[in-house]
Amino acid sequence: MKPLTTEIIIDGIRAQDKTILKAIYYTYFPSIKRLIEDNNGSEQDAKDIFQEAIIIIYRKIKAGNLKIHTSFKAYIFAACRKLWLKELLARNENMENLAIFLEYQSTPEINFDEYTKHKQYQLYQKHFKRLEKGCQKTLKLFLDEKSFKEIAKKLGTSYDYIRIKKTRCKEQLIRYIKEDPEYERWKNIDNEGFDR
Amino acid sequence: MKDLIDKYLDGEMTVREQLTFEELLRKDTALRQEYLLRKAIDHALAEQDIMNLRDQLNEIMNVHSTKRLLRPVMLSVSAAILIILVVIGVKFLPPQQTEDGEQLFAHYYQRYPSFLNARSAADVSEQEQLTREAFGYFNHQEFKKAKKHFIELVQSDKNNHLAKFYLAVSCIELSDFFHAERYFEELINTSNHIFWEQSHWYLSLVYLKQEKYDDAKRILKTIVNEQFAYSPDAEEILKQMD
Repeated sequence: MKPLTTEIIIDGIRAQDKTILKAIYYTYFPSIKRLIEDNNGSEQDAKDIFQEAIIIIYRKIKAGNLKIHTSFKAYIFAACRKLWLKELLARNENMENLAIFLEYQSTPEINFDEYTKHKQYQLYQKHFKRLEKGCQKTLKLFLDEKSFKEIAKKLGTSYDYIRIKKTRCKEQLIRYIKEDPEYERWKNIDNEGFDR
Repeated sequence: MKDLIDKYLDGEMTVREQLTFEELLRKDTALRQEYLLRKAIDHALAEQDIMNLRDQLNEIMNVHSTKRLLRPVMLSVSAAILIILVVIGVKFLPPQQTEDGEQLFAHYYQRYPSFLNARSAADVSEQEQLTREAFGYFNHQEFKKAKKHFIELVQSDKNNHLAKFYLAVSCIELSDFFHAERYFEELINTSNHIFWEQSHWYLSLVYLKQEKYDDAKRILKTIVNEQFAYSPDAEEILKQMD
């Protein structure tokens, strides 16, 4: 058994180690839940915020730009506070009487790079999971840089069939995404280059 | 428009077609928006690791919450009963100053969730099998049998902190506070394990239950000073004790 140090936590998140993820959840979630519930949120809101904080931390670990100068507890608490504040602002909540806002001044600054991109990807991945398994599999095969001909061969079907199937699945996914009210909120993406 | 974008993203255009398409992208805002959306979707779907992590977290949180789903209902019922008792108390009973240790324990104690789903599996070591069986009993609230298994695990490896922690929790469930106290004390005297903070918290509750107030205060103060995850609750208890 290893100690639950910041280093072990980071390694555990990087490796998606279920035991460490559970330990993080059981250890830190109660205070996050209290923070959210004390500031106009529900238990489900707390879970959503906690999950996104862990995923943002994972993204930062992967990108090699996670810098924790305090304890992990202080870091994740500040991260969740910031995420919840963003959510409240988006919901146009009256912030005046919320403890989270009053305490915000003393929150260590956490710069979530590409937060909008994170929210967009979350939306796309959520709807991808709604597609039937056959569609998920077809779209995933294309992401592995395989050509239509290779995929048709792998699935034992024709080039035309796989092309139609891919188009149908992708259009369905895009329809799901565009129908989601969250799409309008996060669609400000016209700031990227043309690289494929 | 959509076909053109997909052809471009799938790398199925000739160099000349690509150049023409890129020129179109610069001029046509709607086409550019649609292109950026489709490109971003492709990138998002390539993040299989993020999707796996989200699935794992969902599973952990949902397993946990199903055990706790009854809490709001229970809390409402408890709140209603409490209000009735308070009304009766105010009217008919002499005032009581603070909660005693037993009441504090009853209010704050919550069984620590199980760490393992005890599915049986082939090709596992004897220790692993014993651990699975122990958690199987723990999950079914058969704490006597769970305790016996956890003791066996601790006896074969004194550094098995997972087993020792759940042994202590099983003791609490069996109202064996004497042994629960002993195991938690051993756990807080060894800091190199992931149940260190939790052991402090449960030890303080075990002290309260046994009305060892000075010991409870000492541990609760450590929880607050070290800013453990349980510090808000520890602070509340300390205020009530004062």
